[in-house]
Amino acid sequence: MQNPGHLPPALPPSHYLDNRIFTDPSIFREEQERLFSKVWQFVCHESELPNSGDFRTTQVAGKPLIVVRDESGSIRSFFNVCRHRAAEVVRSESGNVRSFTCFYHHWNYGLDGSLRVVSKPEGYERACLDKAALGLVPVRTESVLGLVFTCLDPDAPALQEYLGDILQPLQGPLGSVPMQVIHFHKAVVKANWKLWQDNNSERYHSMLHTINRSTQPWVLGKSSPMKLRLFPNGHSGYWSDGEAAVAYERGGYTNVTGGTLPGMRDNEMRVVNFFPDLMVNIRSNVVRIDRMSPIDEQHTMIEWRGLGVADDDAETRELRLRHHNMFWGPAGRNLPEDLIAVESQYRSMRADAVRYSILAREEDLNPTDDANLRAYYQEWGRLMGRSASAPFARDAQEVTS
Amino acid sequence: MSYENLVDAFEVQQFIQRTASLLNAEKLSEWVQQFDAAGTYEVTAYSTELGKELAWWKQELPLLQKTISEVPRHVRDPARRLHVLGPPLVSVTGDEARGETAFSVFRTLPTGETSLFAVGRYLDELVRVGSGWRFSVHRVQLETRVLDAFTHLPL
Ligand code: FES
Ligand SMILES: [Fe+2]
Repeated sequence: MQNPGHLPPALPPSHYLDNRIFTDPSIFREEQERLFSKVWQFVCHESELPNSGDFRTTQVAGKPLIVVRDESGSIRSFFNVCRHRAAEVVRSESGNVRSFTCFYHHWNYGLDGSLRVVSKPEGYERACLDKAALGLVPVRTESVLGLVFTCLDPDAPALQEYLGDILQPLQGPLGSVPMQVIHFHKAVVKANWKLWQDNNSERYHSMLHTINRSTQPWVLGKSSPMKLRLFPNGHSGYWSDGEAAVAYERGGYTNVTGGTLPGMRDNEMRVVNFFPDLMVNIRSNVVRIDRMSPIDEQHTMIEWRGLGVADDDAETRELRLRHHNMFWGPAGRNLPEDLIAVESQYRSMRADAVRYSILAREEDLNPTDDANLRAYYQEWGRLMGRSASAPFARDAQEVTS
Repeated sequence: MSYENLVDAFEVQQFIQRTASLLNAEKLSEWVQQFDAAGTYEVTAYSTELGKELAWWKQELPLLQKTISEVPRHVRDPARRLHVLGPPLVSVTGDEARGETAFSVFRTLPTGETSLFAVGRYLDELVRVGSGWRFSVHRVQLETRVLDAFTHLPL
């Protein structure tokens, strides 16, 4: 007899997920090709590269990347792979260089990626090695509101076209005054990357957080000035057009939110989820950016950045950091609980005892509606050529897109 | 080193060891009493990404007391944590002292598996209060920057 835990729920296919989209290694490999190699991926904030020669290394779709500010002030990216014998050209996470010299046989590249010097060049004369064709392999790089993105697909639309109007709520806080990364930490989470994305998208789980239950008046109510917002390409958000303040004082917290960012109301909260894996959360005076580097289907490296105003005075900076750490630091009120939740889900999902998850809340875009998750998995299904509710269906017509 | 100085240094050593022992037992309300009224608790880590040391938790006593009192209300990592300290290196000048103590924290799951959770140093500043000592700064400087599981518990 079939395991009753493997029977799909009696709901429209858009309203549930087959948990194997989180656990199946072949689906993960497909995501690397069909999602992460195709869409714009946030890599860092411009303030991490203030001067020419400043670089950061990272990974996109499992590929190693150098992001660097060149002599002209533009930000460029290359694969962090030497064209000679594939050693890593840069072996640290950040730094400043005048040029890149590979440590192995000392090939030297300019900040524009061009191969400038090969050591003992006479040895290549007979083979007519063409240096001009052997620069570091460039990767498309564009910035908006200080956020630096790369895209491995030469045919993808321009960044701003891909993001569209989802940038609008970030315009004030990120685009009015120079911002700076003031906090950074990371962790390897034992869960599929999409569970972290889901956790940040769905507001129903405010139940999980003792501090949200006490300070977010809209969590338990039936309707709310805070609304989910759906945008093309799977992007979504959550904010209010009118008054909707986090009630810190109800949680007994005072003096945490000074230095409200431009365009934000005091004690206002905004959440923006860029498809497929970038999240920007704002609490009035501090911005949190979650960037994921999926390692495999069961492990996800998450980087958390906190942003403040670049020329803050010491006191305001301290306030922002205190607020950021209070919720979103490694020992913050919310973050440990979120990690515990997704790791718990993932342990169960790997066992495949119960196969389906439910996204069936319909509440006219009030915060605990699942509409944004449904829209997200619709877009995921479109790009993957699979339905998130029946990913292994043979019949392509079952794809719900 | 005078006899009084030796006794002071020994007391400070014991104080630092006892602080960790209170965490091992999760006696959090006793742990906060290790701080002076103007004391600060801080967890820092150097970010190679940003090229500077960052505070991951920094609170003065009143807010620290509130945060610690709320720990039982949180959904928590069910693992236990055991602190293993090296001998504190202590210097005492009058009514003030400093300590540097290498430490490691082991995490043991309810199922019994143990893993190394974090390593680092306590960089402490203490003041004499009455006949004992209290932290003016209890700073946890982490070497470990990728934690296996986040916790609301102090380190
Ligand atoms: S591998 Fe880089 S110079 Fe040889
Ligand atoms: Fe959460």
